[in-house]
Parts: sequence; C-alpha cells; structure tokens
Amino acid sequence: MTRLRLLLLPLLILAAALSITWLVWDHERQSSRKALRSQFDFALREASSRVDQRMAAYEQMLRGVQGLFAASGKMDRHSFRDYVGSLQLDANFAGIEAIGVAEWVPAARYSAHLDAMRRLGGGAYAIRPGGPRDAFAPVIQVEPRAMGDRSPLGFDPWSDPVRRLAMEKARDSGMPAITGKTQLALDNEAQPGFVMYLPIFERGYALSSVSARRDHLVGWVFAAFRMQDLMASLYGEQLPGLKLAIYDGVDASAAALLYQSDELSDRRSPSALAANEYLVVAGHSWMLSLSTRSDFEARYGRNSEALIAVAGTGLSLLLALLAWMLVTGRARATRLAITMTRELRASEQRWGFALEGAGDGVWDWNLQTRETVNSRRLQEIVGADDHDGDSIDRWEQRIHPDDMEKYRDSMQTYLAAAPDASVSCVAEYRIRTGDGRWKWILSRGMVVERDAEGRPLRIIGTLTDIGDRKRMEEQVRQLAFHDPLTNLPNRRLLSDRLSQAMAVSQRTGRYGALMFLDLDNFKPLNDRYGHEVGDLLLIEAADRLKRCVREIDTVTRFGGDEFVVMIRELETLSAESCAEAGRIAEKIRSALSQPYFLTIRRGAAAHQIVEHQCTASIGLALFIGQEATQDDILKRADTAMYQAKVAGRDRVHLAPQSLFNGAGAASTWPHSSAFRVSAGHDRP
Amino acid sequence: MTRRILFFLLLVFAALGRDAVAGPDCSRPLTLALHEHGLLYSADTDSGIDKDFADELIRRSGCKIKVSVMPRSRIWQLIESGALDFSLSGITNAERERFAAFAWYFSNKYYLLIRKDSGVTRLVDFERSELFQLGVIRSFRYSESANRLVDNLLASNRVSQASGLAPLYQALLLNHIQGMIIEPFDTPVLEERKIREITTLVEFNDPTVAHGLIMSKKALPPAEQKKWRALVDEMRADGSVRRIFAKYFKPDLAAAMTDFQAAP
Repeated sequence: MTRLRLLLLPLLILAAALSITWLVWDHERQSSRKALRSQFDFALREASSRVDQRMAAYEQMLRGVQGLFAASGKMDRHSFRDYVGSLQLDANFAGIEAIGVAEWVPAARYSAHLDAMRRLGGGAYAIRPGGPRDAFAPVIQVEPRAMGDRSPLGFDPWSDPVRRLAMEKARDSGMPAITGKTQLALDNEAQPGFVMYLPIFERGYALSSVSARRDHLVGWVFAAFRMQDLMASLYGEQLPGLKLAIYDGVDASAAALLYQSDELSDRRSPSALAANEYLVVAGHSWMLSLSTRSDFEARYGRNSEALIAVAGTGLSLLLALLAWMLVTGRARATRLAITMTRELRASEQRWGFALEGAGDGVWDWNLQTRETVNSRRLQEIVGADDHDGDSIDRWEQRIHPDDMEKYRDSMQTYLAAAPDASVSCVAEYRIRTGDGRWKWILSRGMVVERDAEGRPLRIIGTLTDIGDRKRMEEQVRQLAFHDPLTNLPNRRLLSDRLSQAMAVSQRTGRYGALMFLDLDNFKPLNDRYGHEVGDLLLIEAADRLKRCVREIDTVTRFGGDEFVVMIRELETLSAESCAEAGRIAEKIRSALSQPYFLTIRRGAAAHQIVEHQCTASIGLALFIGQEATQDDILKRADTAMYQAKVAGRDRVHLAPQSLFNGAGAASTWPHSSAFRVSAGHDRP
Repeated sequence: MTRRILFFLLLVFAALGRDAVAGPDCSRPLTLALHEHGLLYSADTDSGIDKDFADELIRRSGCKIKVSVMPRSRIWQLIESGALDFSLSGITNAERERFAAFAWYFSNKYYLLIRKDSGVTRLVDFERSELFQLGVIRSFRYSESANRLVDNLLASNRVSQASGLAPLYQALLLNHIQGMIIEPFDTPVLEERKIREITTLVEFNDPTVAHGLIMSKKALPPAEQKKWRALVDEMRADGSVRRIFAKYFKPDLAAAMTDFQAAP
C-alpha cells in the first residue's frame, strides 16, 4: 500500500508530462498539417488561376480574330492570314496548334460553297466527312497553313458531336466555348486536345437573343489546342512534389484525362493531400486534380513531430524518475539510516563487549571545549563518581605529581606530531581514585577529528588498569634484587648501590664504608634446631642491622650468615670517617650480640622459644670516589672480617685504606661471643 | 424687387434640385462584370436576373458600361483593385466592406442541397460525417451559419472549390460531392428534374442575406456611390426590381426576395 502510494506521484507526473507531450505533439502535428495544407491550397489556387488566366488570354486572342471579321464585315483570307501572322504565336503560345475559320453552310448553300472554295484555288476541296446533312461548318482556312494529307481544310467539325456542342454553345451565347476532350484533326497520334470556338455574326444586326444570334451566324473562328503543349506554356512554376491532372468534365476517368504532370511516378505519401477544383473554362467544365507526392511533405512539412514525441517521452520518463527518487528518497534514507544504525549499534556492542572483556574504559575528549565523556567502565576503574561532563582539567588534577611531567610530555609530543592516523598516544601514569588511593593506568589515545589546518579537535582512547601488572613487576624486581628470606637487598642490588655510592662519593668527596659481617656461632643453631630456626635468627639479625643504620645506607645479605652493610656519606677526612664508621660497626656488633629469642612454631598452636647467643665478626673497609673497584673494597672488608674472626670473633676489624697499603693501620675491637640455648622457653 | 428675389430663389432651388436628382458621372466608360450563376446569369443563353438588372441600370444611368463575364473570385479581385467598377448580387462581410460599397436590391436565404442517399438530413450530421464533401464556388460567402460550415469543412479538407455552379451540379450528380450551398436562383434550368430526384434541401437557420450592386470603393468616390445607390433604390421603389425577379420566380417568392428592409 505504501509502495503504491510512493508510486502514485511519479505516475501522475509521468501521465501529466506525457499528456503535455501529446498536446505539444498534437499541436505541432496540427500546425504542420495546417501549414502543409495551406501550402497545398495555395498551390491548388495557383494552378487553377494559371490555367484560368491562360485560357482567358487565348479567349482574348480569339476575340481579336473575331474582331477582325466584325470590323471588316467579311471573311477575307488574306487579312486573316496577315492578322494571325502578326499575332506571332511563338513558343509563348505553344499550346495553340492552329487558328482557323469554319464557315456556317446550311445544306441549301452546299454547292455554292464548294464552288466558291474551289474557285479560290482549292481544286480538290471537299467537305469531310461527306454525305448529306442539314448544315455544314467546314474549315475554310487554317493558319499557320497545314501541309500534306492532314490538311484540315474541308473538315466539318459540325459533324463531330463533341465539336458541334461547343459550336452551338458559342453560337447561342455569342461567347467563347470549348469542346470536350478530342483529337485534333491535324494530329496523327492520339493526343488530348480541345478546340475553342467563337462565333462570327453578320455585321449590323442586334444579337440580343439566341434566335437572333442563330439567324445571323456566319461561321466561327477557332483555335485548336494540344493540352500537353498548353500546360507546358503556362507562366509560373508548379511547386515540386505535386501531381497535377486535368480532366474533361468533373469525372476523373482515364477517358476524360486531358493532362497529367507526372505519369511515371505515383509515389503517394500516406498523409497525401488531394483536392479537386472545378474550373469553368469558356463555358466548359474541367476538373483540376492536385495531389501531393511523398517529397512534398518532406520539402514543406516541418517534420518536428517525431523529435517532439521522442524528446517529450524521454523527458517525461526522466521527470517521473526524478519524482520517484525525490518521493522515495526519504524512505530510502530512513531505511539506510536504520541499517546503518543497526550496524553501528552492533559494532558498538562488539567493541563495547571487546573493551569490557578486556576490562578497558573508553574516554572521549573534546580538545576545544575540554569536555570529556567517559565510559562506565572507566569510571569503575578510577572509582570516580563523575559522570559524563567531566573535564580534561579535572582529570589532569588527579594525575600523580610524579607522573605529571611524563604525562604532559607524551601528550604534547603526540598532539604536536604531524597528523597520522596510525600513530597513537600511549602513557602510563598513576591516577588518584575516588577513595584517595593511587592506581596505575595505561592510557592509549588517538586523534579522530582535526580542523582544516590539521589541529586536533577530538581525541578518543582507552584506559587500562595496570595496577596488577605494576605490582607483578615490583615483585619480580624485588625477587631479582632482594634476599627472599630477610627481604634485604642481595649482592646484585648491593653492587648497584655501591656504584651509586661511589659516584656520589666521587662528587661530594665524602668517604663511604663497607662492612662485611659474619655471624659467629650460627652453625650450631642450625645443626641443633634446623634451618628454619636458623632462618629466624637471620631474619632477626637483619632487622637489628636495619635498625642500626640510616635509611640511605644499605644492609645486604651476602649469602649464608654473611651480611654486608654499606654506609654512605661519611666525613671528608679519613680519620673522622673511620671513627664514624667504627662507631656504627660497634653499634651493629653490639646489637647483634644481644640474645635472640626465636619462636619455633609446631602445629597450629604449640611453639617453642629458643634463646641463642650469637655474635658477629665485622670487617670494615672505607672507600672514597672511584679509587678502588667494588671487588677491591669487598675484598678488603672480607679480609678485615677474616682477621676479626682470627682475632677471636665478636669484634670489628678495620681494613687498611688500600689492600696494598699494608695492614698496619688496621684496628680491632675484640669482644667475646658465645651462644646459649634457652631450652624450654616455648611460648604458647 | 420682390419679383427679382423670387426669381433668384427659384434659380437656386432649381439648381439644388437638379443637383439632387443628377445622375452618376458618366464621363468615362464604366465596367460591370457578371458571373455565371443559375438564374442570375447563364452564358449559354446570355440571359438572367443580373443581365436584366444590368441592362436596366445602364439604361437609367445613361452611362456607357462595358459588361463582361468572369469567375466570381476574379470579380472580387478586380473590385478590390479598382479595375472593375461594378458587379451584381454581391453580399458583404467585414473584409469586403474595406474595398466595396453596396446598393441592396434583394435578399434571400441560403439552403444546403444534399444528396438523399447520403443519409444526412441535418446540418450537424453533415459536419460530423467525414465522408461528406461540400462543393462551393471559390470566394463565395453565404449566411452566418453557412459560412461557419464552409470554414469548418475547409479546415478539414472537405471542400471542393469550383469557379462556376455548373461543374458543382455535375459533381453532385456523380456523387463526387454530397452537398452544395444554393440560393433560390441557383435552380439549374437544364438538370432541374435530375437534381431534384436525388437531392433534398436543408434550410440554414439564418436571417435572409441582402444582395446588392457591388461598387468598387477605389474606382468610385463616395458621392458617386451615393448616386448609384439612389438609382438602385429608385429601381426598387418603382417596382423594376420586382418585375425583373418576377420573370424568373413565382410572384410571391419574387416579392419576398425584393421586399426587405435594407440596411442603412
């Protein structure tokens, strides 16, 4: 139904446009026909007028001959010849075959007429056809004079019904009259012709009535015409593409055909125009028949109907198509929008699912208004109550101050870079969550909209919670650089820090010190109570060591019951530094020598407290700048520790300044070291 | 004194009176053309209403008028150009008023002569049927609805033109045309019976149309036209016109044709 309604308007427009095309086409067709018709009518009028005028001219000419007799009152052969000679009947009057005189001879005057004619020189003169008749009208003179057998002299036209009719008509009316179609007496071949008669009356009589005219008839002057020649001599030109025929009478029969302009060609167009015009020529009816041939229409028609029809139909179809497109445009656009929206929604859902599945949040920053739109997941990650409408500035306020520089660097570097869709901005930083904690996040962003000059307008990105990863990394780092039992830095970290300390010492000129510690009396505890208890002691010892030094100093478990303590930034003078280091070493020795109460857990509730006395032998070595290598310094401290051991344990032995500086400067702080087990001091 | 004044006044009135009744200017030979048309004029017998009227007019005017016979279309052409002074039995229309003046002397109705076998009895049928062909004489005009019929049929190529009445009758007899417009004086002398047998008459529902002496405005100044008109009116008034018509028609038809209210 809707589809039908959508089709209705284009169909109406098509119908209207086609109707207009039809109207224009029809109008053009009518106009064209009218123009053609008008051209044809003109040609018909022209043709009949030319024939009329020509015949009027001949009539007038014959009246001249009649006038000759009227003037002289007698039939003078010489005057007649001269007169006709002076008419100069050249090609202009090609239609006239002969001009002659026929004398009216009633039967009573037959013999007298023959005698008179023979006297005039026509010895063989006879009236043809012969035989008795009431009256005769023999031709007594013809100009130009005809020669040979076909001489018309003596021929009696009165004996021919066709000629006689015209002669009677001329006699009774006193006017010119022409015969119907006939063959001229001069012609051997059957050529259509006719004869025009004009009566000659006796001079001096009133001729107002038919009877008076009959009574005073003397004869006729006549002109014989060949139709073909007459038509050829007409003035003016016939329009091309027309077929002209002239018939004797009003019937278009072959027998009555006087003239035909175009015998061979009979190509009539389907829309041929044809008309008959009836002419009254010298009292006789002719029918002029004019019809068009196919080339008439081509020549005078406008021939633009087909063009109008094709162009109009084409335009109508285009218009209807345009209308259909306009009408259905909205529907098609809506369908397209629905499809696109559905696809977009599906795409969004896929992406949303993917992002949610990955645990990522999505942010959308407008760099012009500095407004941000955050996904629900992003808000969960940062634990913010903020909804859409948060700003970039408020976000940046939440960034950890230590990470701010890194964040700004990466952002500014990215935004300042040349527009390249394949590059994205990546930054890891800490953000303050809603409950005030810091959370590591990974932010990836990409510019999605730029102004005409390529400046970024909008940036969209994802936010990933990388807290777990960071913690993992920290653990790995811890495991790599710390002793898992005591959580003290291991040898690798010591080496690192020693390098730093040496570099600082080099810069500040202050001494640093390295103590190598070995717990005395540790192995028996292990042997008696096992490694677990030994470990407890090591843990306790590590705690005591840490408590004895500053934050900037480093306590390292070097392996087994060996520890290394590095003291930084002592004094600039060797002696003072040595004294300071010695004090710290002594403090350590003292702390470590205090009894240890170690709780051994057995099962869920039972435990045993082991008391153990343990001391430490400490080798102390000073260092400054990069004078010695790490190995040298460790070696010196180790050696000093060994010497402390040898010297009786529980003492501090200062290594000489350099391994190769001799041992004379070394000093020892001897103390006794023993351990005892406080058995039965189990704690619940 | 009084006698002299009276004599003078008598002279003035006589002069005025002579001027008022003075005939037309005959100082040059005038021309009048007849056209062959039924009872109006037949060349075969050199007689007819127009011929009689022309003779009477020539006699009364005392002018030398050369009478000739030519097709009607040629007559109008010559009247317009001024080469011809007079013709007879003309009717007017807006176009002819431009170049011709008239002196009315009879009035008649127009009829449509239709072949009985055409099956048409009303004017509308004739116009609707595409097979029917109408025969008219070129340049002839008729009454209003007859003119309308001719113009409509001309536009649809259904008119055969002729320069005389005779071939139209022949064409009608041969069924080449199915109808023609005629006037009371168109009854052909020779073929009256033959025509009457196969045809029927339909009258145009128009008022009668006045016919008159046609005068070329180019050839005759208004004053001359007025004189010729006075002459024609005189012929009507003294019954000459009716007498001429009575020669050719029954007395009542002659009276009906000649007794009409001429337009001013």
